[in-house]
Amino acid sequence: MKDIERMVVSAYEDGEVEFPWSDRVLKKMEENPEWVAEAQSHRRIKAALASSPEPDFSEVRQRVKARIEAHLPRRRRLTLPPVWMSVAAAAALVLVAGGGFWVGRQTVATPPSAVAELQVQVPKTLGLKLSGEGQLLMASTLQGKSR
Amino acid sequence: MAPAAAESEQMLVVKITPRVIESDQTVSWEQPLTQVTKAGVPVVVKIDAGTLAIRVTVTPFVRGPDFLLVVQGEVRQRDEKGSRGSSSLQSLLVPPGESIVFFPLGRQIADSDRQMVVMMKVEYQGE
Repeated sequence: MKDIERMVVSAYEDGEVEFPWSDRVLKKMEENPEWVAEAQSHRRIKAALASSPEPDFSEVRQRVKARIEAHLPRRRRLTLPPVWMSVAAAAALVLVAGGGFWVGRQTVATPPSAVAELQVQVPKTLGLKLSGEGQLLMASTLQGKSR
Repeated sequence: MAPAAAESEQMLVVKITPRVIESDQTVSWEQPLTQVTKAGVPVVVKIDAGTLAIRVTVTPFVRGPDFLLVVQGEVRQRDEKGSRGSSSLQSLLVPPGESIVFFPLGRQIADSDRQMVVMMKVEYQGE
């Protein structure tokens, strides 16, 4: 039995083969006992997996966590007198508020979702006339024609 | 390939150059313009050409590795007889950086007249 045929049987057993291809797989099974054996093997594996209990990974999880924490830099506690803590908090507030105001100003100046309108003026001396409907082309096709 | 949502958030640079070309193919006037936008957000160029008012709206969309450019052209002509207009809506699938040509006033069949062309190019910002 070819690998591709094993894959087809596996997909059929998992309900991934749709009509009319599913009918062709069934027909193949009627004609070929090797396909039936392969399907039965898949069913046995699925049943065994479904009946076995879920592995317990909690111990492994704890060990991995401990190893990660061992490599992280230790945190140092910052201890300041209450007055300095208040001053630091006020300074942080001023910085955050000021930054927010500045960012807000920038956003208003150039809103990302706004439709941009650009305006240009052709010199009056260059007379142009309307000769038909607008036409859109790739520049490469135009260059090809002019060659 | 990046997910579609990330692609649509990426900033796009739209380069638009309205240009007047003489019958001998020399460029008598041009005005290069650059605008940063997002996919689906249009860039409008208003061209004041005396009796002609041209409005070109370019909307880029991301379609896989390419851009889908939707180009709308509106022309209004004012003269002693009154005012008449024309509009067109076209789209083209183009790779990033590929040059596109738009003839908002139509393409001159006879080579005796000057014509207006709008060159366009869309790229990802930072490319």
